[in-house]
Amino acid sequence: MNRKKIFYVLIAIFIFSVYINNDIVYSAAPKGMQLVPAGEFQFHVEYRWREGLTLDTLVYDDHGFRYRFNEKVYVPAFYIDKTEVTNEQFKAFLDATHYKPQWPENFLKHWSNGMYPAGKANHPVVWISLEDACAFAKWAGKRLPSEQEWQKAAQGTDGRDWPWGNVYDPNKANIDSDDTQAVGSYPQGASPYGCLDMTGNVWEWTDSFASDGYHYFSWIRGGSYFFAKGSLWYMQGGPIANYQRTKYWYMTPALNRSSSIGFRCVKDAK
Amino acid sequence: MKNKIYPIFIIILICTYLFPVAGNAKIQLQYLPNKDMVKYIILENDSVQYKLLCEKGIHLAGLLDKTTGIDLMQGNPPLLFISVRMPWSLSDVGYQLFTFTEEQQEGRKAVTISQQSGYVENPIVITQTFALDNSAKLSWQVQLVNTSTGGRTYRDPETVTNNIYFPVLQRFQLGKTADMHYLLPTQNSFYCIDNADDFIFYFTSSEDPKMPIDIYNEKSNNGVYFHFLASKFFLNFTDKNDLISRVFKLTQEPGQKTELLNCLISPHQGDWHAAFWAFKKYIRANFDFTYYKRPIQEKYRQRFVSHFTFLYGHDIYDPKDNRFRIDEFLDEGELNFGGYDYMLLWHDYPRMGIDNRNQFDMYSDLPGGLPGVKEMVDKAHTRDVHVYIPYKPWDIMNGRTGHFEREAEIAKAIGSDGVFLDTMGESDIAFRTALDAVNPDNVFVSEGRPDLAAAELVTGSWNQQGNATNKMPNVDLFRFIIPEHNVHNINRGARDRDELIYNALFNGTGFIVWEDIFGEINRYSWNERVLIHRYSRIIHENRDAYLTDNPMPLVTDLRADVFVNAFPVTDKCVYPVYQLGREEVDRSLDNRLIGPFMLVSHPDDWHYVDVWNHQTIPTVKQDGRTVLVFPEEPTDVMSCIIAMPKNLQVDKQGNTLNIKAVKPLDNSFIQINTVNNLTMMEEEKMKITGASGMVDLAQLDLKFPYKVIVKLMQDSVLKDEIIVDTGWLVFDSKK
Repeated sequence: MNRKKIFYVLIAIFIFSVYINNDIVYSAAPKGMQLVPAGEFQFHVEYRWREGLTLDTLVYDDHGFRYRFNEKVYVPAFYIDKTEVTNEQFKAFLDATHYKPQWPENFLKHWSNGMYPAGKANHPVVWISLEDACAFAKWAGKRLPSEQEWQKAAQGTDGRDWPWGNVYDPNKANIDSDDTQAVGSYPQGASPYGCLDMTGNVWEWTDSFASDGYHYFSWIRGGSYFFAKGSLWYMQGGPIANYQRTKYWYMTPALNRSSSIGFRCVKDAK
Repeated sequence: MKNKIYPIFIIILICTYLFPVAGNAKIQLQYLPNKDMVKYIILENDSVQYKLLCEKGIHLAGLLDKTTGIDLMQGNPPLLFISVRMPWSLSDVGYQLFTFTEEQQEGRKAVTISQQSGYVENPIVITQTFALDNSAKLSWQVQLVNTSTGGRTYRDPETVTNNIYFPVLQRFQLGKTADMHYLLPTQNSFYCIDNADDFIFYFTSSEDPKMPIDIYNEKSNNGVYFHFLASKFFLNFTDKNDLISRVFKLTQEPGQKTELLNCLISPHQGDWHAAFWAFKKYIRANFDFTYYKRPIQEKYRQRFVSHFTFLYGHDIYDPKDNRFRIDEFLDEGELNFGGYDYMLLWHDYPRMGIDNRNQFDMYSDLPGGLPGVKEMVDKAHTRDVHVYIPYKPWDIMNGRTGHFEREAEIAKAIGSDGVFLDTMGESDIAFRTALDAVNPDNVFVSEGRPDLAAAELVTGSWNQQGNATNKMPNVDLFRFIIPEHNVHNINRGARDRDELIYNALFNGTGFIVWEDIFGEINRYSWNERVLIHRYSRIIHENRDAYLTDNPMPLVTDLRADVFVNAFPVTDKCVYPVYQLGREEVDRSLDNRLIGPFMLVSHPDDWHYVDVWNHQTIPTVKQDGRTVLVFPEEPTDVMSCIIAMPKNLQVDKQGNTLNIKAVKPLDNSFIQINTVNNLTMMEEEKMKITGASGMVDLAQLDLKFPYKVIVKLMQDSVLKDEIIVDTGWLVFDSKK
């Protein structure tokens, strides 16, 4: 083999090795979405409510942890909505699909005549059930985030307690007020991947609907503006950290829909 | 450890309390040798004589029970009522300075003795008042004053902490120590015999009056009780040694006056029950029964088995059709537990707090809204199942006002029958008023055990004392003192509920089925389902006796290992029987529950049936009394013996039973059941209207069961029962 050939081969190996050592290059993120690249993160979860927890081991936990997970998980790359889905976006979905839920009680309870309240176009849509949220996501070519995806988007890979860091700061999220605010009102509260309002504003549905054999339930994340005070027996609202999950027992859709629960969507990154 | 009393004696005692000897004017107060040279003070009436020795303090020197002629102080040196010792030595040297003040009232004589040490550095003045009325009870009140401001000493006024003993209570001996026992308050609101490892009694909160401390001798069958109506000390003992050795400490500022105690001392015959009956009388005399006299309370008391219904679970909620499957749910309740008397709808916790919908708002969002819930309630009512709704005092997100009216609105809208007071042991008269305005036929049930004052308004409550409820043969005293109050046994976290169910049968309390604890599933085992079925049938069919005004805790029986409560009424008595420490059978008969176990005094034409194990209980006569006999060991640690007049006659001719009620009863019928030999549950086979009839055993499909039960029922209450043992194969072999 002559030296020239060897040189070209070495060059090729070098270029290839540089290429494989670099981050994978993804196509541009869809509008309004942020990229969360593939990789491992420490999926540490603490339960936010105390009742009805032991059965979770039957459903989720293969490792003998009864009340928490703390494990390293690999999450493939995905795009996630930068903000919670807004009233305006939800109206576009309704206009396009004429979606009608099977059980319409309290569906968009705060709207009137098919229109969201004036001045709230950019507020997160609420009074939607998990089924309603899934219907929206399907229409948008997206899906709801798994708990792992949601938490990684909020937390990054450094295990931080809040989207913006480890230090609690009530000025970086809408966590104790009378109402929702326009999405993205707290840019300084952005997560490492640029997601906004991951803490506060509204609770977010995740793709975690399950049955323990006796009930249906889902895990909701992130807390909301509403913070019931006066008793430790209330489902805890207010500031809810990245790693905290709250079990939401399902019953009738009228109860499941709430003024404090919204959602955002994800889609696979390619 | 066993200490009980014959039921007949208790009846006599009760009669004594109900009908005290009136107008006994012969109360005497004497000073011996005379009033200027007092050594003894004699306080006496026709039934008792107290002899007080005044010598370096006031001692009890004699306690003569004139009804028996026994001096209970026999064998004791004179015992100081109270010893107050300063924390330094020489504190009680010197003579005592006494003053006597006599007080005479209608039907009562009293002497107040003030006592001070002649030793000038002891500044404590003890003032004791002893009073006697027509009863055997000596009233004893003590007041202490720190007079160190009085200038009797060169020392400055000072705070003094004294060591205090009550030798009359702590050193009292009654016969041989081995035969002596104590009834003691232990923990906060429990009572024990001698020590807490023995069976315990549960009462109410620690702030409520405590049962008397009782000292009794099981051989001589008498005792003395000390009923502390008030005390500065927290009277609570781990065991009898704790009582005997306790040093009470009292700290007084200079000049401080302390009303130390107010106590009734009384001799009695029998064991601790005397103290119990005195206590019961005292409690009931100071209790307002107004809310127990409402018609609804009588109906509510007859509701024993209930279900805690967490509405998020699919036992009750059908997610496919978004509805409450009430009919199926109640069907399943009948199959699994023998049916429910009432259900508690649980719609809010732990969901509430997610948004600003409070407990009242959330009803509107249940399937069908309030009309949908009403439909469910109506369906339950058609099956005679009452429906209660919860009230959460802690739900204050929308303020604290208007709660009672909102709850009443809900109650009206859905037609519910009662309010469960979550986390509470008391309620508010305004709440009662608000509910009565929409439906006076509804009751309060509290989660916590109410104290006596709260129990006047809250007429039912949970017995949720964890291991205390879950243990046999523990007795719920409250159930026996205020039997009008409906108690419901529950231990939500228990894995093994056998004893919880036995405890309900034993104490005659209700039982709560709760399998979905806010999402935690804690299913009852098949065995527990069977036990609840059997318990439910017995307590319902014998509610006439179980709901007696005069239930008797732990009546006397003939065996150390057997515990019996009694629920007597005129024409019936229920005796739940429990055998403690039932261990391996050996070949000696001593540890087997066979043979005589109890003496009773019912009329000769009564007979006895164990309705738990489906066994006829034979009797023998002994000294005019009736001895109950287990012909073979009961299948279970529990038995439930019903004493009742014989009425049914059953003649077995071949495969035919000729049945007749000798004294026909109004609205009665004859029920024919068989026993399932696997579960011991009764299976309803046939109903004969009228007072007589014939049954062909072939009609009963007797495959495995071999016992046929013939019951005379009146308004679903058992009036008589005959067990016909058809034998294992006798019937089949004749085919």
